[in-house]
Amino acid sequence: MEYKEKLKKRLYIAIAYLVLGAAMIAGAAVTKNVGDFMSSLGLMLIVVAAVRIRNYFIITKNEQTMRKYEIAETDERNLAIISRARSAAFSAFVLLSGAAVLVLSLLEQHEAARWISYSLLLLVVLYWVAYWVIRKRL
Amino acid sequence: MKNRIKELRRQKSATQDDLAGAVGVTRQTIISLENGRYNASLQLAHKIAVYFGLRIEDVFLFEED
Repeated sequence: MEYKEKLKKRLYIAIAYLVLGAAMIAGAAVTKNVGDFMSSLGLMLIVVAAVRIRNYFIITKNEQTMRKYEIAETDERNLAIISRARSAAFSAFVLLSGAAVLVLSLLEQHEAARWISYSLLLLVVLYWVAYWVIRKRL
Repeated sequence: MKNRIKELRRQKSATQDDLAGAVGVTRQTIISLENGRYNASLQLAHKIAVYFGLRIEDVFLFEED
């Protein structure tokens, strides 16, 4: 079954996250840097992996549950909702960032305004790249 | 776009769950379709029409604006 294979792939990725997270924490402990950025990131990876592994076992408990999750994941209305929500979040982010740049510039916080402008520019560039790639495919 | 899903489903004595399971969508999608809040894709419209043994235009009523 195609969906089961997809779930297995997700499980392997989660296990890889788990190993990577543990390695990061071990690395931070060996170098006596427990509590630093590496160990926090490692812990975050372990938590994400644990949730994903737990989800795998819940979803694959029986065929009926798996079918329910498969339908929920492929349901066209759900996909349309996700797409619209992303689009709304994108528009809101652009508007809020633009407003933040204006306010920060007025407050003479030029450094912060510049970094927000860069992130906004990057987002717009990524949008056009994604638009171009998707247009080629459709 | 209006549709006759609710009417046809009742004629067939099928539940929303039955229809949802048969065409591979959630029950919520069937509810939204029946209420006219969501328009089905061509693929889903085809599956629904096949489920009722009808043509797409017999289930979905196209209206010109």
